[in-house]
Amino acid sequence: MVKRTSLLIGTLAAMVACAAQAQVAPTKPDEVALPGGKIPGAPKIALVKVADGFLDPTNVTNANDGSGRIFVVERAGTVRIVDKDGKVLPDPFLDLTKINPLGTDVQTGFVEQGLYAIAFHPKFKENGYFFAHYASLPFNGDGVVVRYQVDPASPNVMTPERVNGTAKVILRIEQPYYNHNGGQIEFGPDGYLYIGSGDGGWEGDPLQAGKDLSTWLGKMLRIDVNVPDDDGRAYKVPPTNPFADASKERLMSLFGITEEQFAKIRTKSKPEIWAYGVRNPYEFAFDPKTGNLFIADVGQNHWEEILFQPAASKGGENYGWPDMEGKFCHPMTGDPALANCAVVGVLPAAQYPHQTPFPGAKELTTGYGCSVQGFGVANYGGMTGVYLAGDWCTGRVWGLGWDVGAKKWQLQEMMQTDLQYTAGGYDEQGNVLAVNANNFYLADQGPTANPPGALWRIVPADQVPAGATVARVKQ
Amino acid sequence: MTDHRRRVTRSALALLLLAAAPVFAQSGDAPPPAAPGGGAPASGGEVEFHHVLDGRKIELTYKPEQQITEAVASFHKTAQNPYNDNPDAVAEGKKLYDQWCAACHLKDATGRIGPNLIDNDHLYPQTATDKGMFEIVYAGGAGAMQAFGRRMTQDQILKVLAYVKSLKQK
Repeated sequence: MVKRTSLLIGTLAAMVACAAQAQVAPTKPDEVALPGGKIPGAPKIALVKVADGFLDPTNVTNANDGSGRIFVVERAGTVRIVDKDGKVLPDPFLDLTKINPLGTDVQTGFVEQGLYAIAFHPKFKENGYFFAHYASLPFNGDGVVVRYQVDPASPNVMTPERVNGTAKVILRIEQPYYNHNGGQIEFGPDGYLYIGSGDGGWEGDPLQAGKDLSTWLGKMLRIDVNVPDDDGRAYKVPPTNPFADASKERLMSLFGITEEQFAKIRTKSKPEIWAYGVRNPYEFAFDPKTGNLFIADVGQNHWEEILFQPAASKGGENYGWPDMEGKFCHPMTGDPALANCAVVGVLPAAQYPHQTPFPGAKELTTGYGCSVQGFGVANYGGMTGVYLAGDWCTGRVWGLGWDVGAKKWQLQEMMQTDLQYTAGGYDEQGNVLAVNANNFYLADQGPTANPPGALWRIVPADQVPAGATVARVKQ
Repeated sequence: MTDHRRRVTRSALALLLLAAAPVFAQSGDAPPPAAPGGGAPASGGEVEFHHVLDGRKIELTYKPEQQITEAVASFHKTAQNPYNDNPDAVAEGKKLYDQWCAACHLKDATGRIGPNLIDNDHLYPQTATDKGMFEIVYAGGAGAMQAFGRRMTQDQILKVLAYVKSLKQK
């Protein structure tokens, strides 16, 4: 908590100094950024290949321990290490396919299932803890978040014995359907573990999970994993979580209570909820410089959206799903410009359309996508707080940045590539990384049989090292 | 503008862009590209294929173990698909299309995540031809339009293209 408080103070100080630069979530639909923007100072970028040969990579991160290692997460249940020289180590760091004598522990039957992400404890260098989130085969695809501890004598390989000997299940998210299971887990600048939890799947949010506070589905969750092993609890609810108090059972008082106070009683709410109304926050990222949070919330038939949450947020935001689809009402029945839509919740900072932006619309020939996969926030090469994200279908790379002069968000198409993006992350220097796979729905031969994917580093185009391989870009 | 003129213009544009580009390799399994051409047969009488995104030459290196059938050899020389209107090839192409393509382009090829394949609109003008269709299926386009040359033989791709053409003629 101390870290977040410090960050908060720092952020507040910065806000006072540069009030005009404060980034805020849009409050009106016409403030939501659409494609076509131009981020001031943003350079032409390139994707430089770091390494390849990864089997359905689903995420990437670093241990922040000074080793320079990059950890690439593979859907089947393995994690590969790329060392500081760019070499892929032969043995996987983690292999969840080998820990259960009955077979793999990871459910990969549908292309959206598998090992989603790993996250290293902020004090990993001292305690060796890291966490994984994956679809569990024994639990019929439920998402499990598990903590492990690295053996200092074997920093690059977790043996099956070590995995089983140190595994501590933090929580299990029941999954009703095999899609929209979310995935990303990441520690925030406050030291708490954030979990992106999808609405559970199918389409149209049949369970209305996004706005149901009694389920973890369709939420951003926040928990405190710093619990002694003899505590009896796998985690604690941060007392500052927005529903930590509202969820408590209590004696009933009917009189002398204001309506505002009544509105703070939500005894069915889950106290782990940090924010709600998300559909599939498969990827999210904190700005390493400011602590601001960006969430790439994968959309349904017509729009993809990127949510912005300032570092000073106290949580509790409703991002609208399933009542909203971006800045438009859901379900979309025609041209949203003609619809009488009352906005529910907090609007996204930006959104981009599918090829058909609404039922009956003429198909777009440019500037569209189908599934937003967040990478990370760039603070280099002329970019300040620019959230980079890629599209799974069209290979477009988007930049979302705050335009200080215009006091609004700008969504800029940075490039279009031949890559099918699945996720991103950071190296230890804060460079933004991306991974691509080749595993699209019916063209899925299984997580170890699909054509391999690769790991990329995003750099300004004029800083591509000589001899480097760069992503193919539409001219 | 005719398709031919579009191709010529596009190739000229690609040349201009490449001339200004820094020297580094591009992604994909193919080795660094040779100088791009305009689609005319190379010196050996073989057609040169070019990636729809950047116009760079496609090296046909996927699935090196595959058999180069008579149809493929002919296509390499003429850029015309010998399987067009061949009922057996079209039937085989349907099976492959349903396996690899229908998820995005739909069974009737009217498009969903991927574009409509049977209308006269083309995201890439060159895909109006057998050659352009082969180029995008073999080497991929953008994003999820992967290089299906990694999953199908060239002979299979020609059968898929013949099937798509049959749908367009319906």
